[in-house]
Amino acid sequence: MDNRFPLSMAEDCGLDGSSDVLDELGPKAFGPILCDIACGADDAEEVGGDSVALLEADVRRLLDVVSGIKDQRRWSASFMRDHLRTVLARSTNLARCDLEAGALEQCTEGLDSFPETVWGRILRHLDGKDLVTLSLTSKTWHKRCEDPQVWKDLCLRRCRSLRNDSALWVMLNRSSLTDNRWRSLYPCLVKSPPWTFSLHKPGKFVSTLKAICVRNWVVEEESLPSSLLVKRRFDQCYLDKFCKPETCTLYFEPESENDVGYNNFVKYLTDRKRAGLAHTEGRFFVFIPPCIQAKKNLNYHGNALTGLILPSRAITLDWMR
Amino acid sequence: MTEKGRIVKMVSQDQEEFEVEYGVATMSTLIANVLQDVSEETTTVPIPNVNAQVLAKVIEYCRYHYEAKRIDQSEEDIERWNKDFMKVDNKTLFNILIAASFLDIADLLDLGCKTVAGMIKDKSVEQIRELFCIEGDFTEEQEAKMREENNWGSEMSQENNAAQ
Repeated sequence: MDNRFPLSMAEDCGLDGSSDVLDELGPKAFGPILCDIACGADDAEEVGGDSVALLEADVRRLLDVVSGIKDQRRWSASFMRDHLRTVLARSTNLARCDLEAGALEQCTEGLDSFPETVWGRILRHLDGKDLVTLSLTSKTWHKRCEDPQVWKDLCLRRCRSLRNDSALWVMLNRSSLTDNRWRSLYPCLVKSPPWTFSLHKPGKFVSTLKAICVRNWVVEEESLPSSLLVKRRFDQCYLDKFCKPETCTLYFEPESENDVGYNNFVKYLTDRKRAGLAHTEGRFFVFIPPCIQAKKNLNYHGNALTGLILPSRAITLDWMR
Repeated sequence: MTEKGRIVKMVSQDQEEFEVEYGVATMSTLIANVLQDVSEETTTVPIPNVNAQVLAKVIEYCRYHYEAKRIDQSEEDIERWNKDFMKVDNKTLFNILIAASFLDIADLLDLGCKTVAGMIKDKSVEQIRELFCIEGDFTEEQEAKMREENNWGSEMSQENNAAQ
């Protein structure tokens, strides 16, 4: 019944069951009714614009028309339905025009009448800060902005590996995560600026890496290097020396998935039981493949590359031979 | 189905007719689907919930991008054109968005959404309320509490902009 006659109010008024009767009606003698409907609508305009009164007048007219038909019993239901629909469409149209005309900068109408998919798309173009601001504007927007999917997209843009590296979640150790996990994780991810750099071995490009700070971020955004050269390697057993609770700890993911250079680098360090070391501007950058020290000190049990940032003074190079 | 030279008539809500090349009209997935379903002789497609002003804008968009694809317009030119195209008042912008959503024109919808998002970026709560006529309905305590909970948001503005 729904798809036949889209106005619920008309159904309330008893139009609902009418088609059973109308089914037996034929398509002839429709002229008078068309005329009825046309005149009726013109009268209604005197009631003025889009109003309940107008709608009521329309519905009454429809009822009149329908009760008139019962005697005629000659038209098909579908034919009738189309014409009733025309009347209502006209009424709806009037209402729309009214809305258009009366809309003095009706921005709210626009924004709130968006289908869900539209404002969902808009939210996807916002970062966390803007989502938060928007969520503070009203309850409706708060609800929309708290959508876990939106925050999930945001987090994954920052760190793709969150999708499939469960060990990373453990490493992030967010016992405080609320039901809206992505939403509550996001602030942790943005404590450090986004940092992408190219990793080199002497004379050889390895991979383009994205670094995510897991804890204790220390570096100013301006002084983040855009490339790092791993000149030295040292035995993983030394890692115990500088993995302190306050050490800046990183997680690396290759910028592109299935990066051969990255995979080879991790394998290279793993096979030799080494960690890589790069030095620049008063800082050491340590690259740690999956190993017992990473598990023990960083609480990372996965297969990705992790790392540390240390001030130069923290390491003396004499033990490294 | 011969598509070349085929003309589609789009009829707006206020009964204005727009004659559009088949290739331009079918940038709307909705229209493309409709035209596939009906017989070839049918050339008129009613667009019952888009008015002429907005439909004209939408067609302008489709026509430009249809042509741009044919003559291999440069990315920069297209981007510049898109930017100019979006320079409309809020109401028109929102109506274009609703039309793009209804007509299922993904690129236009995306462009519009990006534009609206751009309007929201880096604004204060009050500015956004004013911009979109949103009426704040939180109590002062609720609002203060939420601002407190979310104060990480203000600290990371720059870094995040860089991320976008």
